[in-house]
This record gives sequence, structure tokens and C-alpha cells, in this order.
Amino acid sequence: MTALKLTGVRKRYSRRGAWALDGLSCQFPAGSISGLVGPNGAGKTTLFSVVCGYLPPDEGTVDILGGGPFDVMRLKGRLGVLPQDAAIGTRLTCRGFLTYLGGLQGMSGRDAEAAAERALTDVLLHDRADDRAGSLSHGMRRRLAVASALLGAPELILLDEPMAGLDPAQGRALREVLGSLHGKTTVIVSSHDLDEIERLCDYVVLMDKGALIREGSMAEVTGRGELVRWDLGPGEVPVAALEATLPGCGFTLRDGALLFEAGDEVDLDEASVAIAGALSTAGIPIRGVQRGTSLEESFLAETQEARGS
Amino acid sequence: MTTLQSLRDVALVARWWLARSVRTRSAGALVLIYTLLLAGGAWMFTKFIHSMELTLANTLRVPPTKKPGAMLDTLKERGELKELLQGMIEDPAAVEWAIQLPVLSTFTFWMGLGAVPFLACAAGAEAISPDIRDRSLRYELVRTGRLELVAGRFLGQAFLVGLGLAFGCAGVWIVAMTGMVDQPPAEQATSLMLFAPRLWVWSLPWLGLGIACSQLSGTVNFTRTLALGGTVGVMIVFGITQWLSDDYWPILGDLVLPILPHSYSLGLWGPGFGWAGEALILAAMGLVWALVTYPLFARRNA
Repeated sequence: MTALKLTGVRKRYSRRGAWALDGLSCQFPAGSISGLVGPNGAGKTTLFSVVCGYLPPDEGTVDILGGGPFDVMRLKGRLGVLPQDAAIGTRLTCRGFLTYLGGLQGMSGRDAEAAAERALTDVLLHDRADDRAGSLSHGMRRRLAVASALLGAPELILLDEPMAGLDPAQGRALREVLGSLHGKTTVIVSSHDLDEIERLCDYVVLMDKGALIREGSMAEVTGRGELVRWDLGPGEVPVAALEATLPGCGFTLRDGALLFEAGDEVDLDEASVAIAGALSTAGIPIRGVQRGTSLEESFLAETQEARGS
Repeated sequence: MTTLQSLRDVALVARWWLARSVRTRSAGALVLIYTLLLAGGAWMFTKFIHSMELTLANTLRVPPTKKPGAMLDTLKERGELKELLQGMIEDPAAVEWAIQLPVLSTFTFWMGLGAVPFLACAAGAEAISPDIRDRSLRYELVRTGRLELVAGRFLGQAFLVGLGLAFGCAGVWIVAMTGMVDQPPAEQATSLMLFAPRLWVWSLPWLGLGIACSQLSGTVNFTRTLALGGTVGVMIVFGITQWLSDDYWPILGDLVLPILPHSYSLGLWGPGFGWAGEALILAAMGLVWALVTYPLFARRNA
């Protein structure tokens, strides 16, 4: 099931300007934590703006939670958004700000206060609930903005650069909160920090120049389900023996590493045990094992390929 | 959005706007400006009355008064006060009614009719514009409609203007009690309470004009200048239209004057609730003016 689907969406900011979104088609599975990845100017923020109704698309269709494009009545309280660069009034208290937004989401005063309390606890700001936003540090204000996106129980949450300005501990806490939403809420995170996306997300959409480069599960995009890199010490790698043990699989030696590509219907765990056994028998030390490539490597490769083509 | 939900959102936005204005001290500044303007104007008018009384005392060869107010009845009997009011109001029926009221209240209303448009449009021009600039509107726009947002800000700002007028009238009352003599407190207060709601209603079209400008840009100075310019423009258009329709093309007056607030200002003078019709028209005009630029705001990247 799809929580958000874009089909052929085009958007540009001026009549003769470049397309910020250029026929973008992609989808985000319901219940997933998805990453939206792309270089500066790829169109990530424009995509969010179109989805949230800040901007109307010039062409194409957007389907949010199966009910068509952004409609504030239909999506009241069902869509949580962290805008990238929207300010929060410095004289507003954290609690007051969130309670107001809760009210606009359709909650009663009491429910809005309770939801504000929960959201503040989630982002570790509960002890600053009655402080003015102006007295918070940049990172804390960012967390308050994240709390506004988590407010209530939205079915779809869009977070534009949520980790920006957070220290490692705060980032980790936020990752834990978002991780706890897995399976219950669809979360879409836009970020430049690919390590962050890789750790957090199970689905990823790669964009460049307003168009889709690739989308799929994190395992598919990084090859986690089929590629394993074995960093080895000195010794003769028994490639022939491995090929005989695991027919249909690919073995390549490169830069002191054995690259294993699983064939169809090969269980990666079983294959790993077999390879480790063969290497151990041959007396070759195993210095490291990595499943798939990093998201960064995949992203760079995919971007290069897309630009090359 | 259902009507009930819309109304609830409008009320929430208006209430939040008020709370925010109090926190950011803009409400305090607005109240202070209204109080200073109305009370200050009233205080200067007492000086003018005093000079009239001193001239009268000189003419009648009676000892001059230390504070104004003691010779108002004589000024009234001699017709000098009526002449003054005729110069201000022009309409004979309105003058006949106004002369029975405390002169300071009448002056405050007259002055308010001239000054409130500028204050109200300037306040309206700040209702949305700053939030476009820092994009803080985005938190609200995924939760409520843009129309509800505009209407809520209009309502909240209208309430603030009302508060400013209430404080301003209280200031005038204090001026009357401390700066004049022979001013019955209750009568003074009642007459001010008579005029304050009329001034509030009069402020609505101008507030609407300011809010319309506020939706056009994220630069407050620009929207404020536009609103003030628009207010002056409306006044000029009214004057020219009135002149042209009186002397040359009556049809122009029939077409243009009904959509200008000044056509209804005279109707606000008078006893009882005879001004209710004008009040409704002015309130509707305020809402319509506030929404003139809404189609642009509805499509803009907020």
C-alpha cells in the first residue's frame, strides 16, 4: 500500500526558469520510514512544498494517503510536516505553540495540551515546555519544530532536514523516536546526511535535477540483499572451491577484498557461513565484512550513471 | 471544510493572534498609540475650548476660567459651539444631535473618523506579511485553510483595534474629568460608549484594506506603505467622485460611491441604532476588502 504517490509532477518557479521538479514519479510505501535523497537543487524541498500544498504543481498528480492531492480538510491532523526553514515566533512558549497547532488539527483544548506534552517529551523538550522559543538554542528550536510534525498521531510525516543543528545525542534520540513509528506511521525524511538516512530508513528515493534516479527498499538500492564485501588478509583465496560450493554466485577479487554477489534463490546467511568456512579452512584472515555498498556509494554511482546517460 | 470547522478555525486563529500580539507587545503598542492619539487629541481640544472661553470671558468682561468647560453652556447659547460643530460635521441634523452630547466626545468621534483609517490599515498591513517573510505560516497552512487564516487574523486584529479604541476612549474620559470642569462623569462615559463602537465599525474597511495589502508581500514596510497609500487613494477617489457626480456625472456617484466607506460615515452620526445599517455595510466592506487579494495569496508560495 502506498502512502504518497507522485506521478509526472512538474514544477518551476518562473515561466522561463528551470524545472525544479521535472516529471517526477515516485511512491512511498505506507508504514515505511523513507529517505528522500538528492544533491542541493535536486528538488526535495519543492517536492515537500507541493505535497503540503504550499505550492501547486504545474503538471502531474499527487496522491496523499489514497485520497488525491493536498486538501486541508481531509488531511487535518493526518499530515505532520517539518518545513525546512520556517521560523517559530521567539516569544511563544513551546507548549502554547504546540497546543495551538493541536487545536488547528481538530483536537479539543485538553487533547491538544496532552499531545503537546507527548511531543515535547519525544523530542526531549518537556523540561522547557513553558519557556519561550526565543530562549531555546538553534538545535532546541529545531526539535520544537520536529515536535510540531509529530503532534497527535499523523499518518504521514514529512521531515525536511530534521537532523540539521542537532548534536549527536539529540540526533540519536530523534532517530529512536522515528524508529518507534516504523510500521505505524509513514515517515519521509529528506536529508543530505546519507549515513543518517541509511541508519534510519528502510526505503529510499534518489533524486537529481527534479527527477527520479532510483527508488526501492534500502536493501535493494544498496545491494544489501545480494552483495557482500569480505576484506581479507594475505593468502590464496579459494575462488574455485567457493564457486563449486555456491554455484550461480559471482566472486570477484579486488583491492584485497572478495566481492560476493549472491545468485537467485541463494540465502545470504547460509552463503556467508559457507564462505567464512572456506576462508577459515584456507587460513585467510577475515578483517571485515560489509553487506552491500553504502548508500553514499550507491547514490554517487546512480547519480553518475543518470548524468552520464 | 465544513462551516463549523471553518468557524472554529477562524476563532482559534483569532484567539492565537490576540495571545501572540500580547506576548510580542504589539497589542500594547497598538493600545498605547490609540490612547495617545485619542486622549492627546482630546487634551489639545480642551486647550482650544479654553481659548474660546477666554475670548468669550473677555467679550463678556467676566473673570477668565482656569480650566475649560465652565462656559460651554454660554458658548452653546451664543451659537459659537454650533458653528464649530457645523464646521466639523456639516450635516445639520447630525449637528443638532451632536450638540446635545458632551463636546469632547463629539470631537473624539470626529477626530477618530479621520485618524482611525490610517491606524487600522497600518495594523492590518502587519497581520500576515511578517509570517510570509519568515515562513512561519507553514505550520498553520497544513492544518487550516488560507481563507480561515485570513479571516481569523482579520477578526483578531479587529478585536485589537476595538481594544485600542476602548482604551483611547477611557483616556478621553480621564482628560475630560481632569482637564475640564462641569463634565458629568456618567454622561461623558455614556457618550463615549456611544461613539466607540461606531468608530470600531468605521475601522473595519480600513483594516480590510490593510489585510489585503498584507497578503501581497513578505515585506512589512512595503505592505504598510501600500495600505497607507491605498487609504489616501480611497479618500481622494471619494472626493473626486463626489465632486464629479455633484457637478457633472451623477451616474458616477451612483456607481462608485456605494463601494467607498466615506459614503456611510455620515450615517454613523445619529441617535439610537439608526447606524446599524451602515455598520453592517461597513463590516461587510471590511471582509470583502480583506479578500480582494486573497486569490493571489491562495496561490502564493507561503
